[in-house]
Amino acid sequence: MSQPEGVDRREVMRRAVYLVGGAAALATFDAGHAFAADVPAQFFSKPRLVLLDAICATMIPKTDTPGAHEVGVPAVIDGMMTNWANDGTRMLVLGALDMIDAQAQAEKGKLFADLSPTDRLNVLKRFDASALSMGDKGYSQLKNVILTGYYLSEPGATVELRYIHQPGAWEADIPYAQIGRAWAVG
Amino acid sequence: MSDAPDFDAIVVGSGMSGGWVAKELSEKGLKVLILERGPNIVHGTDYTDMLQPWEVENHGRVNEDEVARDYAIQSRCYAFDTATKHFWVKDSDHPYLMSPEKPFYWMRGYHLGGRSLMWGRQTYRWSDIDFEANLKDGHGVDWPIRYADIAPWYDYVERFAGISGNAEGLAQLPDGQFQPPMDFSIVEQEVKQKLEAAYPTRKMTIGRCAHLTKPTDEQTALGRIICQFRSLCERGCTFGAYFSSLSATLPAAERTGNLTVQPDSIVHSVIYDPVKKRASGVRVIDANTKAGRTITARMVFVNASTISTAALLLNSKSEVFPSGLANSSDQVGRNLMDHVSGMGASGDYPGHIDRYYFGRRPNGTYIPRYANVTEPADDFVRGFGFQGGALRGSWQRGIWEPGVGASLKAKLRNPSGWTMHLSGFGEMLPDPNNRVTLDAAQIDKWGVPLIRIDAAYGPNELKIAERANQDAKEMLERAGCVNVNVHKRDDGSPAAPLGYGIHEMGTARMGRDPKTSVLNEWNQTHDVPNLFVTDGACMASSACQNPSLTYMALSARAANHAVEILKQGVIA
Repeated sequence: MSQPEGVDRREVMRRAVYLVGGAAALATFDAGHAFAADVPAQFFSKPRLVLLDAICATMIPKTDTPGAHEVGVPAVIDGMMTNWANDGTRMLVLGALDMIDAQAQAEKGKLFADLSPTDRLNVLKRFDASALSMGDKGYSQLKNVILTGYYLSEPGATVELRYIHQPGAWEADIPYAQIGRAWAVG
Repeated sequence: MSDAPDFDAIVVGSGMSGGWVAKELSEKGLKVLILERGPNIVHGTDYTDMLQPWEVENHGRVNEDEVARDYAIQSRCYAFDTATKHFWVKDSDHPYLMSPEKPFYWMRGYHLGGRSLMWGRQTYRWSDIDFEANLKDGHGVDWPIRYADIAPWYDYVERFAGISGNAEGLAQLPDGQFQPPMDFSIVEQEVKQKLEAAYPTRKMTIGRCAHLTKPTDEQTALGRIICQFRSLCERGCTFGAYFSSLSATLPAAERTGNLTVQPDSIVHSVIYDPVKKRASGVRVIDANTKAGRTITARMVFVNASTISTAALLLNSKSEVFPSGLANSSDQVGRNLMDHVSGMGASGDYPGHIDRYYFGRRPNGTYIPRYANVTEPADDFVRGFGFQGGALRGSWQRGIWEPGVGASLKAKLRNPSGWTMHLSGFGEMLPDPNNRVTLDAAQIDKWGVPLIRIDAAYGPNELKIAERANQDAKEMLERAGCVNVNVHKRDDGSPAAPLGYGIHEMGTARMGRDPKTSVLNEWNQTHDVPNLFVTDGACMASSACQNPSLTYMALSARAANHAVEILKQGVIA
């Protein structure tokens, strides 16, 4: 079976911290969403979970619809890292998270999660543009799982976008206004 | 102990072709046994089509370590994910041999219904252009049949299976018994108009596919209903809206009371009776207990799928047939073909951002072959066709396009503009050196010799692939697309590796001469009159159309012929 976060000592210690403080960390999630409240993190250490949550909330914020934090994307990604990713992918994603924190430290002298919402957005925006232009695999994967976790969540697919499991018909040419949002699944 | 055989007929394999054989034989009153090497699948119960996107494990991503360990080959198929994993073989359980320089990625489903459960459902007739091709250009051997021989059987299987499509009156792609076609998107309509104006010798039509768009009473009686446009087909369709053995042929066979199905039954070899000069039955290995058993029958149909069918015949050695049953021609295992695949291009189609669609059409567009039909090609024989389609992208573009935050979310709320793609499928010539053989020194966990696949594209296939790539780009540009890119492959090849077409054919070809072919015009082995092969192995050429409909028609035709000659006492 999959192992949490590799084997180096630093990670083992972070995980030990998380095992003690995990429930408290998860209590900060919006209790109205099952994913956020009920699933304990298995893969991420507490500091990285806080970082990931801050990145998710910045990447897909709450607007007139729930954002990635509200629909519990961090827990979904934690599950994917545990059940899907191999060690190489895990290290890539962890590396991207750490790079974002490093960028926050370099620009603002603080951890990403400790920045104001405006500073988070500016730091992530610059990081995103730079990492994508350089073909950073770790960040591409991180952005991939955040967007996938959000847009294929029930609120992401049906409140933010549109999804009908059983359309029952194919209407090949209709006014866009009749749907008004993108289909979550093409 | 009675000399009476256990069954009238044994059918090895329950997929696309085996299902048809079982249906036809049992409906004619024969007692039929289907032997399926994989587990039973219960139509509906064992499907995952009711899972919502957020209910799919890991959003479809199969554990990467598990993929590397157990699904290194199967995971290359677009239809492989956590919701369909149980329909693909574990490569670790079912190894085969190939050289790294000549890869053949063999995609397989070992379970009741076989690959009829995960197939692409595109259904096209062949024409005399295809059945005469070998004779005309000298590659391979002449087909022993022509379009007139198979046309009534195309009609027959189409009426039962249910094929949606539009009649076009094209010589190279004969019309069939169509249920109503699915509609083009607005951009597909425009691309069709511009393309046909720019190329008077080319045509674009809607894909012909095995989906019910106006079910008949016969289909309704089998519990099948109209397509719900979910496009979750690879998970199995609880509604039976697309044709599979499980939705159509096996239920039809079962209701006759004449069908017995034994899953988890690996056929080791076909038994040959040298006195009667007939196949007398099969040796079976229980997939779970590995216990052996022998089952007898008055006739045997081998429908194990092209590569496995060849392997089964090769493994059926006897004093009379030391190099494999029905292999006096030495053609069993030779002439392995797939379609040349992976070619094509895609581009953006400007405009129409105020138009959209409702539902998910499990089908695309089709450009029938024109090379060496309506337009001569100077540097290759045969030709290629294009599947395609124009849809609007969704949130996925946010992964690779820069942007974060509320502005990203606002952007992805709306779909992208329109993108049109064309995907080429080319004909592969029969080449006796493209082979399936057995490696007696290595066995699988049931003690059966491992299959070795040794095949490669020849120069004609590579020319077809290059032309298809060029043509796809040129057609999209002339149809009004911008930012047109040819599908690039990491290895620089113009085509995907062999196997990716998932259209294996040719390893026990039909032909007129027993010295150069394995099967006669009735899919009956030249050497053993009560032994038949009606899966892709029988194909003497590959054409460029998706082959399943032709397997269905040949299977129904051969089974009905077998019943006739059985009654006449010819093969009993």
